[in-house]
Amino acid sequence: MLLATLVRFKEGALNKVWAGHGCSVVSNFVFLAEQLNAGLIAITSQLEIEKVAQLCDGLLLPGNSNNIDPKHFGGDPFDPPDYWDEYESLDSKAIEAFHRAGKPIFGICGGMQSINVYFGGTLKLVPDKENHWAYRDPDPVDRYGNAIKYRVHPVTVEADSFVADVHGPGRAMVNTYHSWAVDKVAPGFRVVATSDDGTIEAIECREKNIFAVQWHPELAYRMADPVEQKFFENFLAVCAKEKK
Amino acid sequence: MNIAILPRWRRGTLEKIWAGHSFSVANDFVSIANRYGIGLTCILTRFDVEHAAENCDGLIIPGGCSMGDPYEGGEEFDPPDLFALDDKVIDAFVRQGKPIFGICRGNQTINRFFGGTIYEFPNKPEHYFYNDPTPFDRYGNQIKHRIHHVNVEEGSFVHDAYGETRIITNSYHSFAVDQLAPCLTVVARTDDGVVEAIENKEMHIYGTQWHPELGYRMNEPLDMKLFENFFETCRKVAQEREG
Repeated sequence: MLLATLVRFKEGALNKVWAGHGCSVVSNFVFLAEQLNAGLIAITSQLEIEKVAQLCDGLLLPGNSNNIDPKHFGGDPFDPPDYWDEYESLDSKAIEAFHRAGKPIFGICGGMQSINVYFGGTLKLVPDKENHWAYRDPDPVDRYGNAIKYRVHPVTVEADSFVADVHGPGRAMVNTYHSWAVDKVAPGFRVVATSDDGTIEAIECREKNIFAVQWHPELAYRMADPVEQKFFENFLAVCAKEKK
Repeated sequence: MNIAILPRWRRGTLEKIWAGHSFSVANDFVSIANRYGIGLTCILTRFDVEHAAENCDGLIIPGGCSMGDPYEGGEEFDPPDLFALDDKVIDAFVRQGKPIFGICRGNQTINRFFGGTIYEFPNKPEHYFYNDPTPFDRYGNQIKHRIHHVNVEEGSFVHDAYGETRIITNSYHSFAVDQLAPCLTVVARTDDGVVEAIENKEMHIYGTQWHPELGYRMNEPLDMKLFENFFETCRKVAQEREG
């Protein structure tokens, strides 16, 4: 099994030889892939992306510290404009290539938003940033003893969905770190998890084999959480099934 | 054309959800690949490496922290066995007969892979401590690095790019090739004898101890020629494979 993911731009210290800007993949994804015996490669640009989509069995679309410029869904563009616009240069091209190649896609946080925008939906600011973004007190501690600034909130999970496959239908507690959210859901997609203030927390389209969550299940690696890890196990199973 | 690259461990801020440690590709490599219209994919795990390698026409092994301290003191995490990944990937590319270009620690990794050794040479200041004054890059940032002279063998891949037998390169290392692997040749040394570049032209294996990818930021066309030539070699080898 070979999955692809995208790099995210990380600012560095340009005055040092080796510590300049980087294009990074959060280590959680790599450790999770290793744990699940899956190959993982990272795409760094849209060049030759169709070939990579042919080669890989699925796409992990990660979150991003940059938000998607509203001009991509009919809103007023950011001022000043987003210099890197990874939605334009990377996310949208990756979704297009993998979707056309018939490969499953799993979107996380900003990745979910990219998916929604790509297929024709829109985004909006969350109604209450406090609930979806601000750190709570006290900080939980990861498996290595590091205190991590974290927020969690409850979500309501629809039965017979990929989220229910992991958390069961009904209520679940998930982490959260986003200031934008899905507004209009892209046609063909179904909302399968919402938080108490109505914010859309997960969407799926089974026909297209595209699944997305607004929270960060990859943190399951650091938090030694076997439940959220099931998202990745199940996604790999979907990719394996599609392969046949 | 797709070229593969290996990641480097990059320490982050563990207290924040999204800003923890990561596996990283220096932006310089991405910029260079973009400039030459090449897809650059980063191989991150040891699984399905042969499959990933089949899609790529060459491999770049970038620099990283010293061999003596592989995880940059990453005591917070189970240290990832980066060298196991490096070796597995190099093995796949060698077996598929594809060109490999190692840079800085990548250069040392190649030597180690083929049976040589590396050592911490005594003259660290000449290869590591910053010179004065420091140059500016294309973005107007003043970059601290060291530069030194390197003596180059004629006919080597270094000579093909720089066109001279005595060149000036940047430098940022404290380890170097000690015992050379049997299949490799030294093609550049500094005045104090430290190995600065190795190659095996028949196997399309090249390594430089300096950082030519910085040539992108520093507007150095000769450093870029090293990459151009490497990409050209990858293309030619791919055509031979298909033909």
